[in-house]
Amino acid sequence: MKKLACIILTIITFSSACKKDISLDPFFFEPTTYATEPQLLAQLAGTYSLLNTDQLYAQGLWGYLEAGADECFRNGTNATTFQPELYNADVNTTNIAEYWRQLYRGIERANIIVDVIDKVEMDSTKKANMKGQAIFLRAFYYYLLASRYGDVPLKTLPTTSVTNFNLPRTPVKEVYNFIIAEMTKAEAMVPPINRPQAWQAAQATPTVVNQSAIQAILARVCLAMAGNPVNDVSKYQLALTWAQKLIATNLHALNSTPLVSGTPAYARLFINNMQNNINDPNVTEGIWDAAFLSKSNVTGAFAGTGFPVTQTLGAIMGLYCPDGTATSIIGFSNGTYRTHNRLYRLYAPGDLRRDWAIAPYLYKNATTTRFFTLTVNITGGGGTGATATAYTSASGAITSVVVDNGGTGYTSAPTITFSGFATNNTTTNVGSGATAVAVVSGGRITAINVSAGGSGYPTAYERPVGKWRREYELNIPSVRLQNNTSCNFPIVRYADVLLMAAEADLRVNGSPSAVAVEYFNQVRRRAFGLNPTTPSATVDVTTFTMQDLMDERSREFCFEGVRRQDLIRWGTMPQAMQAVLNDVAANAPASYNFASTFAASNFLTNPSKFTLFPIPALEIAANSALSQNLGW
Amino acid sequence: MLSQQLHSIYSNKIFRTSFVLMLCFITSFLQAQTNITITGVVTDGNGIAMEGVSVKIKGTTKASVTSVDGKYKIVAPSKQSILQFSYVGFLTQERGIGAKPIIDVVLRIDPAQQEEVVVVGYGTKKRKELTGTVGKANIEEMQLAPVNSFDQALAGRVAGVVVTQSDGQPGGAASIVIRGSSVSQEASPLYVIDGFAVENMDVNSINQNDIESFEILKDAASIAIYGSRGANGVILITTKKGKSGPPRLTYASSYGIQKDINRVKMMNPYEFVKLQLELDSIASTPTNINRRFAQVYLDPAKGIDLNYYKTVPGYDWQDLLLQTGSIQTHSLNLSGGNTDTKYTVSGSLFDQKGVILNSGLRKYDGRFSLSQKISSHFSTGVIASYSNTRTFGTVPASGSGGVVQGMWQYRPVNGVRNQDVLNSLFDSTALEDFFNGNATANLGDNLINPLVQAQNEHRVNITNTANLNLFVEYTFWKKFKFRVSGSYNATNLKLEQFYNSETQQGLLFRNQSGAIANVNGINGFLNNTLNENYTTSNVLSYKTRLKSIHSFDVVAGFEYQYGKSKSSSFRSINIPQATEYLGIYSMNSGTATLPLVSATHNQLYSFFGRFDYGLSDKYYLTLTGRTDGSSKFSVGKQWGFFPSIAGAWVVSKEQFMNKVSNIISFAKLRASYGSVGNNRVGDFSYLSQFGSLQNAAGYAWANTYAPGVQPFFYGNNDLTWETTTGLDLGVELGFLKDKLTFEAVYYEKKTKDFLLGVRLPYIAGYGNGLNTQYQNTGRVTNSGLEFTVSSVNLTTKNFKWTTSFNISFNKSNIDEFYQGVESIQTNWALTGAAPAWIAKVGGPISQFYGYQWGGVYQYSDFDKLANGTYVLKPGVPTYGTTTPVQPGDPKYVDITGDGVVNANDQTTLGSPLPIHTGGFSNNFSYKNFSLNVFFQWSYGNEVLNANRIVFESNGGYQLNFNQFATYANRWTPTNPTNDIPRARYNNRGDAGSTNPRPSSRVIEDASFLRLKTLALSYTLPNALLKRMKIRSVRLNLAAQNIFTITKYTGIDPEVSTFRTNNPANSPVGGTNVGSTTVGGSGYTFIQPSSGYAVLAGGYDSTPYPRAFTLTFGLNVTF
Repeated sequence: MKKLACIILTIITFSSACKKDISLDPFFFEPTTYATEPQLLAQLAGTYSLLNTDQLYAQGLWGYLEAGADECFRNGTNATTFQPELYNADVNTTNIAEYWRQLYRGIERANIIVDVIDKVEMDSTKKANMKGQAIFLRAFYYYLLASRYGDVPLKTLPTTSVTNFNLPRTPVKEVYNFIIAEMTKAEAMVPPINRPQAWQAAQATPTVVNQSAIQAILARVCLAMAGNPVNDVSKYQLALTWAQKLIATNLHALNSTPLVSGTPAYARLFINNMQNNINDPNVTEGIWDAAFLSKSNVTGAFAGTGFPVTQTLGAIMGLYCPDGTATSIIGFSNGTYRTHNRLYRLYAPGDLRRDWAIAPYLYKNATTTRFFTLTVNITGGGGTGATATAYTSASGAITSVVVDNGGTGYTSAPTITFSGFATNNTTTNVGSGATAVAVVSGGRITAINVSAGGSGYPTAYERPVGKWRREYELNIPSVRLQNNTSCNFPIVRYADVLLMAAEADLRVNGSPSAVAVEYFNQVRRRAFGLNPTTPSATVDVTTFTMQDLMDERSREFCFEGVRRQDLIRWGTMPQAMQAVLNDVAANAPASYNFASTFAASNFLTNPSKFTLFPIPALEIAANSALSQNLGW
Repeated sequence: MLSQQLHSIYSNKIFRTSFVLMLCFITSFLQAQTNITITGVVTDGNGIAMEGVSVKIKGTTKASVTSVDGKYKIVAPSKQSILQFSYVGFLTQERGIGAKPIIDVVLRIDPAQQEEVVVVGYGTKKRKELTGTVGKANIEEMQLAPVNSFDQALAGRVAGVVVTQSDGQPGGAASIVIRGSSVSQEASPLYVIDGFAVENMDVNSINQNDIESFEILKDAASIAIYGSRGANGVILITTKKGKSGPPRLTYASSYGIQKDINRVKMMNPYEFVKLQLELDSIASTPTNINRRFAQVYLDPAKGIDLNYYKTVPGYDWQDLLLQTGSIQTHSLNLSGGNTDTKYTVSGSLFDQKGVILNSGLRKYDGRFSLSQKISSHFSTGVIASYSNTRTFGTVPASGSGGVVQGMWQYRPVNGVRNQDVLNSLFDSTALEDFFNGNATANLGDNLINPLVQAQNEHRVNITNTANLNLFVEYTFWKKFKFRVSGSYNATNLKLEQFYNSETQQGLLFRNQSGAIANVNGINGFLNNTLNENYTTSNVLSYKTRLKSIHSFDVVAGFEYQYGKSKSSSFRSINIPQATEYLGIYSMNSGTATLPLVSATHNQLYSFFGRFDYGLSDKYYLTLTGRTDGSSKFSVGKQWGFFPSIAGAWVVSKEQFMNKVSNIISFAKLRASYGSVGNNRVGDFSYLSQFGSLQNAAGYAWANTYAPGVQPFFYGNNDLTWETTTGLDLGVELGFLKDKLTFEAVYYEKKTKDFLLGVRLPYIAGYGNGLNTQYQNTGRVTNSGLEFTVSSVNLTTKNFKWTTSFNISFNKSNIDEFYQGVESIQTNWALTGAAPAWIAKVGGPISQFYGYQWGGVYQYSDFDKLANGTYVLKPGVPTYGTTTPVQPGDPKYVDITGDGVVNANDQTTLGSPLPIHTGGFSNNFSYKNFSLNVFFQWSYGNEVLNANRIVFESNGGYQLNFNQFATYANRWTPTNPTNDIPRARYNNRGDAGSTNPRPSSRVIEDASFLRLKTLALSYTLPNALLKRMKIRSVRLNLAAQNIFTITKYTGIDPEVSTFRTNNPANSPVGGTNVGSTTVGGSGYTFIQPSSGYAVLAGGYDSTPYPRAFTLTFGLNVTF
């Protein structure tokens, strides 16, 4: 009996003594505590990787989230198409929730770096650089949140316990203050653009966060804060300061020579985007790009075969080409994004940006033959070089012809004919019955007068966005996927900095100063194929108004995902959308009526509601501290 | 003091015993001696020779033992001697010798010794002494059912145990929920097979016919000995062991057929074409006449109009895909032994051809057990078993890609374009859309010929399970036993999938502009997982009875368990078509992707003890405790102590009951209270995890891809045991010498800190699918009543009728979610992932959630404008979207009364949990015939018939789809029904959403009563067999799922097909930019096994049809 008692006692003693740690180590996943620089670097890559997500620069920010403005519309839209850009989304819309989610993922990844980096042993310059990049990216993601959702939860510490999941929304003004403070801090930590940084890549290019990128984005954030809805006008001065700081570095200039003959210098940046060309020695216009890649250097896998770093620029938004085969020469695009007539007419004669941004031609088959949507053919007359643009009515009648270039050596009036191809799948020349007469004076064509308008010619609505053209793609995978490209996306570029500086200057001074006018003129000169820094009597302006600046921004940056935010901060979104309705009513063929007005008419049902996204219902369900935006 | 006293008693007893023995010896020595030799045979009631029966001359030490053939030989000292025949469990017989030299004896079973014995944790107990609630399933009866694993026969057998088969998939496991579950996603019980706990039990790995007894521990007091893992209940399975006696060889075989029990009626060719033409007109505007379908189905030139289709027979895809299945089993069992050595060897084969073409199950298993007594102190034993299960064929995935959906929706008629719908891989109409770019590159999910799909899909799961148990038992000081045992259990799961160019997953189709519908091309997938468990257990037990009134039964032990799981898999894509004929072996020629090698492990240390005390066979007390330490939690949270107390009072033994003892033969009251735990979370759920898989989250800095890392899963250092504290009150009554027994139990289980993957707000920033974190989330109460009645209704010489009946009620209530959370929603698997279930504070653990169906918008709800459009009358609720509601659209109740039906109008719509469930079994035997009739039911549960969302909702859900026949009664201007909304060309979804939403229209009462099993057997007469030297022959005729009474309109009310997306259908890595597919991302976590989600029960989406089974069997024992 004693023995039994002994045994039981032993077991009891043993069991109470055994409150020891019996943990096991996991076999295969990463620890969340950082010890090494490579781990930190991988985390930084993870922080950048959100830029590649569908809701950000792989589509959302130039497409379904932001394209609902007065520059382009989604062709084929019908009453049952639901997209945030059509202003018929609701609190359950996946892409609005995912956009939120992706940004907070990026923020968390940055939070972790910022939290841990000081404890990691590594070179101090490198450390400061990496930390600066993380701080900037976090602030940038907050900018992408605040500008779309207004008040958002400001979470600047890594998720550590259940307590900081359920944060309430911080007023948008405070969020902006945080963004500006953080970016300012980061600006001093990262190196200038193109400074070699062997640890990250061959060198810091527009694909790596650099000082210029931070300065440029700071200018953008300051303008956003100065406008609607925060209206902190003191930030115009700050915007000007940052923009001018960048300009003063003299590291950047507008591209002034074409990359490909027959294309304008303006196109160089976009062709480089399409070619992932970040080492073009003449490119100093690019400041910060979202980098995509068609081929993984790690696995050799090509775009589309399960490789995530691809995007749809050039395809969803691109130049119409029906050839979607794996061996397609041009690369497929169904030309989803079509131009509004308003934008098409905004360009002055001779502005080379128009026919780059708005595709004047399309492809009809697997050949490289370009079919021009509507061309004014000028033949005979003894001269060369004349070009002209024809404008149409809703019925496809030619209403007017504007001479873009008078040409030289014309001795008699050349013959004017019109040809046109539409995006339906036939190669038949459409439109008939128009006639026009050219007026020649001094060897130049000075005017072309329409004598009969005819009908059925392609209108501007036939023209898809042409800024990023797949025909220039390099490193094409063996199986070319219909909807995937690896086009880099220019988040911010030097022209934007110039016009932001010009705008801030105008706002600060009431009228633009001489430097501001010069910034403005640099953009204009390049648009007309001139050297951006050489004054031009024909193109230069002596002053500009806010309206001029607004139009110039639209001409320069159309489809780059900035227009909608511009309109919102200027407070002119309702007017712009109303203008779309008026324009369409006057100029659109019936078949485009619905698609081109759906977004505008939906928006106008409740403009104040639609200038912000709703807080996702899923998020409110998980975080009861969140309130909803007005109207949603 | 106490120990001293005990010790003195002990010494006294030894003294007394030796004294008595000495006296005996002396008396026998003094007897006169004449020495008569006596021989004979000892048999049991069935005429079977008994070996090892002790034959003794009464009052002497002379003794003998019967041999294998029951014969004995003994020399008696005188004619007055008396022979004593004794054998454990049998009544001892005494026979005077007289002059007879041959004495044959038939031993009768001792009814007192035959008292029901129940297996409990680490021991056995007499049922009448039980203090807790242990349900014993009638395994012999279950074995009559023609099924391949016990879970298919368990439903309705034991009160408080709810068994739901997800559908009729061969080899598909059932969910077993004991006394309601907590909110944790894992509700399956802990299995203990021959004393060893198995957490990831594969029910197919054990042959139902090898089971000797099947017990279910239900109350906390009984479970507490299993501590941290028992909160979901414990199922104890004891396998058959050899018995002493001559060897017995049993051969059992059965063969039978299976047929699906119910089919849905689909629209006939006429109705189908009518719908397609209606879609044409819906899509038309006055200026733009849509003739998309008219072109396909009508040819005015040849006079083919709609009426033509009244005469076209069309294809019945259900007929083409469903077949008469078959099942057959063959098993052989050899067992035998003597008092020292006992053995069994058994093997069986099970083969099932499923009711869906090219699907089925094949299983082999073998088992060996041996126990050997080495000396009076030592004994040892081994049990080894192996099983190999191969299930194959289509899995009717929810949402997409399944042949069940295919056989419902595929076009029933050819049309006028010369398409041979029966033999071509695609639906050409759908293909045409694809050509025209109307369809996305995905080509639509189910526009593949389901017949071709079923014939070509190669999906095979192979499970190999091996088990080895060893023990050594040391008996010392007579009453102590120390048992050391070890167990190794290994389960190897192999998954093979191969999709050739004739399947939806592997098709090579390109549209006119060359778009690839399937970027992975012909592809295959292999996965290999090995789960291993090592357990050692050291148990000391002591059992005694003092002064014949105090009985003690003490058990104490230490146990260690280590579980490890390793898995490796890869996919091979873009396999050349030239090699596809090689099937899975053609994977060599594809491109290997997504390599995944993962492993995880856990360990558990346990100390446990139980103290049973009985006083005068009237009062019983049980104290149990277990301390568990699990590696699944972080330091400081690893150890938990789970105590319990239980008592019973056998009232019928009290004197005051004597008066009524001829009526009330037995009465017992019992009560127990205790706590148990649940640790069913991932092995490392407490740790935050970062993922850094290839291509996962990297970035191309300067065109050089840098692999990235992302915070993937957020850990929780505070994660700890879920604890269930249970109160159990029971009464047991026996009437008329226990011919009628009755048991009633009330229980209340309070679970706190239940473990749940909680969806964090996105601002937490983690990367896994739903952004979840495991948390101890709240408190829930399950309470209920269980009644079990069994009776012997009639016993005559030739006829016997017995009945057993059980009914149980369970009510669950969520008391609280922590963190102020009010509810947890679970999304369904249809497009749009709308929340369809809600777990809400103050409600049961699962309720359906959605919109209250309000009929269909009728013309009377609208004002007709001059331009012909309809505008809702003021005050009629709308959806509040930019697309206006039209007559015929579904109407939902505007609960908030704000005039707009939106997310705020969602409400609870019933519950998938039954009010009561039960079973009713009758056994009749007449001479050599016996008949078992078993009914099972479930009452008060509802099912979300998601099939109706797809097949009876609005024809535009996907164009070209056939619909249920009931859809012919949809709303049209001339048929203003309130039941089914109008057809739409492009589905806009429900309630203003782009996607379908759950509504009360498709939530149906799924109560049912089913004649589950009918088994008739005939035992051949002994006389005949004796001549043939065969011990017994039994012929069986058994049927399963004979008929079902229900109001449910789906094919079967017992359904729960909530599955996560079929991984085979998710394009691995995602074809869309930025998309990550959980199945393919490589972030696979090894979670507790269960395909069943507690929170999402009662979901009917393309179930594998349940089968009626009829088998004929033969059972021969040699």
